[in-house]
Amino acid sequence: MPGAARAGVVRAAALALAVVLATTLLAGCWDRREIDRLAIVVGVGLDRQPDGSLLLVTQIVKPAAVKAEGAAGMGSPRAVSLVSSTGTSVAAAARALTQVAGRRPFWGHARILVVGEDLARAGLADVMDWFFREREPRPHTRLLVARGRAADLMAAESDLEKLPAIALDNVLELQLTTTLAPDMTLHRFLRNLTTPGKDPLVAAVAIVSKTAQAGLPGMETRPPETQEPATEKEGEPRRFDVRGSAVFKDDRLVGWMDAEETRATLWLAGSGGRATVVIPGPPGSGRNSTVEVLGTNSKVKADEEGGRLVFTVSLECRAALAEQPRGPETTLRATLEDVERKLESVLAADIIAAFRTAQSLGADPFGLGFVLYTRQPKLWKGYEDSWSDALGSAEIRVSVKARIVRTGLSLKAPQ
Amino acid sequence: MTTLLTRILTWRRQRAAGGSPGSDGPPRPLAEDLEGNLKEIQDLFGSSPDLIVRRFRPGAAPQVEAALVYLDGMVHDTVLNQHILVPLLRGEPTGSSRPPRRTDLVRCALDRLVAAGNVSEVSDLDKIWHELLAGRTVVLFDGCPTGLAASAKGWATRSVADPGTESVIRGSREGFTEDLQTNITLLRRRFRDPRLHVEFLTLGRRTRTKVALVYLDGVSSPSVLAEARRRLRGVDLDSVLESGYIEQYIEDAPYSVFSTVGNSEKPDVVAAKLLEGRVAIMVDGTPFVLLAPYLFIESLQSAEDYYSRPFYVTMLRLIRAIAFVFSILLPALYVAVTSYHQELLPSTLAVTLAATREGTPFPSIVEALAMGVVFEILREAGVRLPRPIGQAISIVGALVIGQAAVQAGLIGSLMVIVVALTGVATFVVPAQIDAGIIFRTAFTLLAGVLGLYGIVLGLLLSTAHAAMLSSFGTPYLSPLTPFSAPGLLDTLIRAPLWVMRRRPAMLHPADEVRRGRRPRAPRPGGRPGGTE
Repeated sequence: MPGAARAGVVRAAALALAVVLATTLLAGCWDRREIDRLAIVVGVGLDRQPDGSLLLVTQIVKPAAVKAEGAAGMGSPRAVSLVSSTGTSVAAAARALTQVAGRRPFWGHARILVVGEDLARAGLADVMDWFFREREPRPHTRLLVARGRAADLMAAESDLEKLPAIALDNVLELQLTTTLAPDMTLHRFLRNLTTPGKDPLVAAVAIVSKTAQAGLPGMETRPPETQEPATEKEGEPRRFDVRGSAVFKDDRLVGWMDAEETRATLWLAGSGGRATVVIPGPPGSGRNSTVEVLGTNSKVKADEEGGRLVFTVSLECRAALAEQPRGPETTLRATLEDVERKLESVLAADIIAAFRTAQSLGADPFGLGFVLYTRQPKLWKGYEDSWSDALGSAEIRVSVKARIVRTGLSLKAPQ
Repeated sequence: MTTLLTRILTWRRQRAAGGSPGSDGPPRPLAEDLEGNLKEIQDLFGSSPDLIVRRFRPGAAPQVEAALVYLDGMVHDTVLNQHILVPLLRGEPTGSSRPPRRTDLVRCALDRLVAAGNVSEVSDLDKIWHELLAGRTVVLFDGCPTGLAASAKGWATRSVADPGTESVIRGSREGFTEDLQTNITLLRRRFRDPRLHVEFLTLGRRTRTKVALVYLDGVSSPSVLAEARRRLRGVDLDSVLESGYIEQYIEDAPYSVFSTVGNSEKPDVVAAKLLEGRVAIMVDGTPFVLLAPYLFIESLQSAEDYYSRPFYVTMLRLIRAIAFVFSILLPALYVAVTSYHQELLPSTLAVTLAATREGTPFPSIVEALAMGVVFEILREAGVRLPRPIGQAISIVGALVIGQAAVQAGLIGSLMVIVVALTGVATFVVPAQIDAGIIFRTAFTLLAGVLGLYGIVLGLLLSTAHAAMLSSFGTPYLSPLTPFSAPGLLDTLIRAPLWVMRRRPAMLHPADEVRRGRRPRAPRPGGRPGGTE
């Protein structure tokens, strides 16, 4: 009896083992894909071609070039190959990429998605669908708008990084720490689209001559538009320049903001952080002071006065003195107060300038509508359908309270 | 499943118990005739030349023929000559008026002549060959149906030396030897306590190996002790050449990859385990002493942990745990990540990984398995060879496998790092080496077929399996599960000694609290013997 039972159990166990082995090994649907058989896409560029079709340009890693040791790290060669394809939809273009790449594209490591200006003006919502529907691309991919064609941007180089897309991502990341560009991922873009009363603000990136000087926004800096476009001279090395932002109305690009407006917009929207701000220096010095803004806190109140909206913005700002030229002999307190007042007026002017720009574009990158939507839903109901008009006639009152909390290592400028 | 297996086992044992020759027969009393007795003994040993028969006439009764029988090489010659043979030959006990009668001769020799501490009378032929094989010397007198067995044992033994396994930086350098008596002595020297009890058994029908069950009376759990006795009594096998033979017969889960009986070569470790309430089983002929109950967490502990200060030891415990996880999971994770989950890696790492694998001909699962096998081959070759050659093997192996294979483009260089790291990590937790290698291979296969899902599946199954095990009534994963907060003081952390006031509760020691009290903190600024 026990012998029979034992034989039964043994047979059952053997059968179970056979089934498990057969299903795992014989089924043939093994979705294993070795990492060295993949074409790892690190950067994606999308352009709208004149005929309305899409041009997909990807930076695909060349592993062999990554492995090759650059000569002492200088002048590292590009370790990506540009592979492009066209299609009437993103999906079609992505599939077509396989024919060119020879390896299966892997989208999981795409760090940036650069959208050409034309495509952005035509609207991004439909283009973005594939990136969310497909399983590999990540919602955390950063979104950028190219001033010009995305394809040109994808061809730009970086001296320090072998992977230009990662270099661009790093540049953007550093700009974020000085609040010069908005941090816009695919996911945030989508969320902005679905948030009432808030339009996306996307970092803008231009391609400039490698020799073009970088400059912080300040009193004398030229706006990027006036910088010479580098596409003219073929063969000249080019670099990217992340500065300012693209203003969207819903999913369409409607215009640009320069770096200061972008910064003011971000502070107003409560998502800005540190920044370096140049303000007029002490009276009579003829030079500028520089302060490091450490953090801001914004409060927005919305009211209706005489049939039009009035937004009251109060911004608190903590800052540290970064550079202070020599000025008339005063007390430290007086100096700081002078700096504070000047900082306040510069910031207030920036905010108002940003608001005017947004008004003229009919877009609301601040999320003022969202403030209305959450605080005064009844009021929002009335303006919901004609929000850009309402915004156009709205008034903004800005009060900035700045405080210098640190003076750095010295109290006074050297006399 | 397990009940079935135990049933098979018991059935086998019952069948084996049918009887083996040369033991347990009816008693065979000695004859009065000396020649007959000697012949019987010599026949029994097949006239082996190492059976020495020394005939003599005792000085006390020169008319009687007598013989000294012993196995050459198992007695201490000087002791035998001076303290047994010489007194018997001289034989004139002071104050005795007349020579003893034949029947009194044995008594007389026992009482007055033989100058050995351990002497007994023997009257049974079977008993005699037992005594001879144990190294004792047998004295037979013509006309007497009894003889004497005197202990003048002395054979070549290895001296107490550094144990080959379990090396420590700080702590006792003593290791057990192959001699059971020496081993018990080593242990006794650590306990000036009569409650260190030793129970002897003889196991192995042919080898008749002496086995000692050692425990600390009043500390060891009575239930564990009873269970150990019961299991040892149930052991019935032909030969016991090493404690591993017994281990496989008494462990709780003979079909599990996890070992549920521990072992140690170090007297201080065994002493510590006894003090925690465990029992030890010592086997003659091996320095490895079995310890039960054995819990998983013990594999992360080392003797030194208790000799060093607690902070560094706590860090070491964490490192051991990490190393154990590495040794089991690293190749599997590598395979899963390179073959299935490329998106899990940071972008730069993914690119680097792709670069190292560029142009390699095999999928990573094949690489991982092959390199695992190669590593085991190298290890095995290194272990079995004499030390100088072993080193040569590892150098050649490392060069050939590590350098050349990568340069030839056969395997990715990261794979070499993974295998090397895994291999080194394996040896951080020596107690789990055998289980670790099996698990590593299994997990690698699972990862190759199912990716991370397979690894998680394997982890679930193996953890569930380990949680189901128990060792001599103690759950194998305690004190982690079933959870015991005080038990955690000696797991991933090693609390200061005075905090661990209680013996591990999961072992159910008879005496739960350790003696002594915490050290008194010195007064700040106080001088010894200083005045107020």
